[in-house]
Amino acid sequence: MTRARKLADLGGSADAGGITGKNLIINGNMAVAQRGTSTTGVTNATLLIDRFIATTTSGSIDLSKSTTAPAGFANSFKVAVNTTNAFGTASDEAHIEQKIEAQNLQRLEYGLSTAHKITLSFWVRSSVTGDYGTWFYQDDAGKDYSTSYTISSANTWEKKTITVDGNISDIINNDNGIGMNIRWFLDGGSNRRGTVRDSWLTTSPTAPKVPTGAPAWMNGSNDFYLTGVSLEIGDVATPFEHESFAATLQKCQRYYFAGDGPQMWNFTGGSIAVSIPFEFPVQMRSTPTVTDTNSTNRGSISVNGFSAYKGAIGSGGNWRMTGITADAEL
Amino acid sequence: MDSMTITNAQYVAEDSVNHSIKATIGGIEMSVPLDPANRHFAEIMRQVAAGTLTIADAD
Repeated sequence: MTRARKLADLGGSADAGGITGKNLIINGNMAVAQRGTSTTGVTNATLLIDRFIATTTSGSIDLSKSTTAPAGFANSFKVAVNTTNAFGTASDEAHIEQKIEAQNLQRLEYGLSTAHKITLSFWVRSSVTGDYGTWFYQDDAGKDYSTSYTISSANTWEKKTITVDGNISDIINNDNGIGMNIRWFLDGGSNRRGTVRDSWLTTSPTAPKVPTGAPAWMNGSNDFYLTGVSLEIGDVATPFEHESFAATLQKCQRYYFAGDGPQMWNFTGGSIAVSIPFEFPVQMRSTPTVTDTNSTNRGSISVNGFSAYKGAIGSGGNWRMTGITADAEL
Repeated sequence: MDSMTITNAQYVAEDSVNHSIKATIGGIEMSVPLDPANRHFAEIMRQVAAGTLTIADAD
């Protein structure tokens, strides 16, 4: 074993003091699910497991944080068909997706002759065997890289590894926008299917994303599980970088926060109106959309926090801002 | 959960300066900052440009 190999493998034990930060995917072990652990009948792009979006354009799907997982993992992201659909509309598509913040991808050196290869690895299990599409999209360049992998055995965990060439032509802007989208396609209509391109090319709605002979996954009572997702520089998939739940949660909270605020008591002897500040645990990616369940109004929203206004707290009474959500997803 | 069905959009102002949009998104009332990097604000502006959504003036 080479020294480089040994060093790379240390990344698989981050909490034991190994190399950390190699995985460009956040929440790849599907541990954090701040929005809940299941939802049904999904048709729009929906976040359930933090950082992972799932959608279908026709029919509907159920999403859940599953305890069905390969050895070494506690959870997976389960997508199951709720309402079947034959995907007769040419532009139909169903997929799971993670969007990666651009400034986290500067080490890829895209746009330079030194642009690095990246390797995506993940554990997957599906009720249907066959070829499935994965799709990498470089948002700033409008270019995509479609490729595929094969699920050989139904209802069986399989580890897949995909290496993607570096894009030497187009930079990823060093900002807080979308740097790269990665999609795991579950199904696609006729103009989403074709021979995957295995190179960085200008995208279009009809550019192939799903291999021609991919299964009609949405047209049956099927399910699909995903976990252990890792994206790292180079052409080798090293062991998954396990980290503490707290570390993963903190990374997720840059994009979404859910929780309650502090409680306030009124000892003034009369009714009062108050404005209570709330500070997010992590500076958010952008100014977030904010909601809560019981304030009168909200203002002063920034990447660091916001203020909630409560019209009246009676003498001796108390009030706590509850059900806070802050959304700065890409 | 997440959905981009947007209704009841209205600017919220302080000292006559708009600072956010109150809107119902996916059935939940949300406060959306006026930040182009915010995906909800971007979607509101997209729907306004498409003529499918209007934003009421602040009270």
